[in-house]
Amino acid sequence: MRTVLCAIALACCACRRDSKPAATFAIRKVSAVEIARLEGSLPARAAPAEPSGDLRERVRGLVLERAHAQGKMRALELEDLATIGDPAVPVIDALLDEKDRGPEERLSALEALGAIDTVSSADALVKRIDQEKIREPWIRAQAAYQVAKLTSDHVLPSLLAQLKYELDGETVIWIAAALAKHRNYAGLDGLRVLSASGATAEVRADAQSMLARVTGEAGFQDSETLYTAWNSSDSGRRVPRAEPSPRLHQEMWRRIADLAEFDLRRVDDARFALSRSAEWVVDLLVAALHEEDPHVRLHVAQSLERMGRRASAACGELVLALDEPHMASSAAAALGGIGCTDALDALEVHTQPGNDPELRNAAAAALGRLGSPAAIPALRALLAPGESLDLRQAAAQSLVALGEIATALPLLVDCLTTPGADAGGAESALEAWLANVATRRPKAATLLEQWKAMAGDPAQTPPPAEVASRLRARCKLLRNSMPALVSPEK
Amino acid sequence: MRDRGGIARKAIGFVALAVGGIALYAVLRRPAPTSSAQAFTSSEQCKACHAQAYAEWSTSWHAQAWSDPEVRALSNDFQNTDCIDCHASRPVFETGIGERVLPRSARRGEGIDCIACHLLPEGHVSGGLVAGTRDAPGAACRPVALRDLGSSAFCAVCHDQHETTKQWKATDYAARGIGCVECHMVARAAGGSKGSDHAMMGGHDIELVRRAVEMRGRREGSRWLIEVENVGAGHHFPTEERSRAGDVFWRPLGDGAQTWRHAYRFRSPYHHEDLPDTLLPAHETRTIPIDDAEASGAIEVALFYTLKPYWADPAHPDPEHEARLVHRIELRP
Repeated sequence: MRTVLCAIALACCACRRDSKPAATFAIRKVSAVEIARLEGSLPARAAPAEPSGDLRERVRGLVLERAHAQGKMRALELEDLATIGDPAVPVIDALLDEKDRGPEERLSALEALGAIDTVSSADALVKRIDQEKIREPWIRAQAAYQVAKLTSDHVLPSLLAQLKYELDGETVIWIAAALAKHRNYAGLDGLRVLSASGATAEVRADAQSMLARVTGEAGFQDSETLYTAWNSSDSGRRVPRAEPSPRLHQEMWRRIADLAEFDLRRVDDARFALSRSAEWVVDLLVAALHEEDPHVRLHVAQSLERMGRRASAACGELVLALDEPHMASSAAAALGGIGCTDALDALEVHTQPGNDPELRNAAAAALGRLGSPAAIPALRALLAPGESLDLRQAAAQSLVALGEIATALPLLVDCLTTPGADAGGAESALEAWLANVATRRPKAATLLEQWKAMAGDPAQTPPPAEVASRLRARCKLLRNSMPALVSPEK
Repeated sequence: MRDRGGIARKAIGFVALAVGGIALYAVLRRPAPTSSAQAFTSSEQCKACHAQAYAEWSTSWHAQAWSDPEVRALSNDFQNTDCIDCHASRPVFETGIGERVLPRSARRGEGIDCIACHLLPEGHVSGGLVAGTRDAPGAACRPVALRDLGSSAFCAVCHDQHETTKQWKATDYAARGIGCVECHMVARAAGGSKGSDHAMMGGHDIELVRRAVEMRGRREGSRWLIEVENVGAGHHFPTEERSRAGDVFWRPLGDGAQTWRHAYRFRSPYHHEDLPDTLLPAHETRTIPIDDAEASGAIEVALFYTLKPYWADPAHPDPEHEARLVHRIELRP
């Protein structure tokens, strides 16, 4: 008996060593604390003093005179303005707002802000890149050009957010240059698009030239390699890294705090900037996964998801976040979006009965994005008739994405017309799968053509009845071809 | 025999220990569910007891919030993930009145459903499972009467993303306590069951739009002035999304073959558009002059309403096919 009791005690001890106590995902104030901490470490920025009448006249005189001056005089006046420094900024800023100022005078003012090169002048310039407020593209482009010469890096989040809205090619080019100066290569997307399809030959040439310059300064031979390296986890640390200033840290924390805003547009601006920041921001985002506001936690997870492989350092914390109810499904989506293959087991566990249906669904979808065939058995189990249609569809979409179509494809095709199913999601998943298979199988290529022919006029939004008719037709098309589609590829 | 019995007991003990250990291990290894399974996981579950409300809701634009082709097109098939928060939202009461709703990742096809508005979080102070208009502790869904449910603040968690509730707050309607539900969730017609219509019509109901605005014309010298007045909307006309617009067209009277000529657009532009915000606030009138030599005689004027912002051919808009007629008037000198 004693032996049995000892064995039980030992077994219990062994079990306790093996198992962790149910961990509670810590929630606390994060962004407010960090913003305050950084505020204390930064040199205090006094409110700009009201410029004296003399100073105002002098600065205005210099800016307006040099607008019409030539050569050396123009350069000397710029030097004078740079020497005056910060006190000149509010005067120049006000001058830019005067409605009767001509292009030469505004150009002179923007150049003066660029020459001053302080935190205040950088802020004044970034204000002029706001597409919503400044409707003249040349002013935005010139302001971006001047920002690209400055040393302050705290404007990066604002520049990144402008990329979401900017329509002017030259402005995009100079924002990309300003970002690259501080080792942020989020502007590559815009440069690549403009290089290939800019509105004018001049914009295309300027974008190609900037792409080559940014690539060379980053130490890469070609832009494609830089682009791939920037969008990877960059384990070889090939992409140059800059040490962010405390002020930039603080600005990023402010963007994280913005994720609690009610206005979703402002939230998305913040998420856009955060997800396009350099990899160092992952440390901040991982800390912010613990923010007390549930909206912040959720959107931080979404920011990490949008970073893709660049956020791979967050995988471990995101696995722990699967136990935090408000953000569990977003954490699962992030694990899938980043491609955290080490999270496969954790995601599988969270697809099992007993978990929140939201989380089961998100985990099933994430398993499909991981791209690992190891997830197939767990996903197949979710196709069981007893499971909700929603979960079965999520599993079917993941299985089809993984190429496991025998059981999943018929179910997904049925989702096109089954009441309660997400027909739009099924349609997108099937089209992506067909496009993939069409590259290898002529039959699928033919089907893809027929499928696309049913899409209707892309310029017109179809009425619901037309959508329903299209879904029925597409369902019929794939059902009729099912035997050929599910047969093994030769 | 005693030894053999002891060995057997030990063997049984070890087997029991092994089984118990495995069971204990399994229990300890299994992660705790992130939240206990909800009693209600789909609006389908509401259908049996609330057939009329379910039927009304299932035809509503709330039910189509995820599947509506217009929304899918404007949100780039929900690649614009911001739209998901309000088009497939988690329960309003989960985050609470005054807070933004959170997006859900499951059963998005149900759009804004029964659960989004009625489900209470576990352990809600009311002790109920769902919010309703009366307490019914004996009912399966244990509804509790919560005043918040019918408040404009409740609708604001989503509808103020486009400032509709903010617009309403500045109106006389708000001052008089006439909220969203008074117009958009009216009491069911006599003969039906008690309660309010869960179809919750809005801008898709052209009759409701017709009641929102009036249009008239008057002569000023040799030209016509068209007046459009917001007489019935408790918010701007149009409201809610930047895609929605009201367009005034005119053409010489008696020549139906002539194309409509554009005179004015009521719309809040997207942020990238260099256009003024021309929404018509509640109780206000906008005067639109028709400055065209061909308009000096008799003309017909029409106000159209559209749910999408762009014409197929901007140079030659075809409102009769691309928009819905709200009002049409004939003006003679």
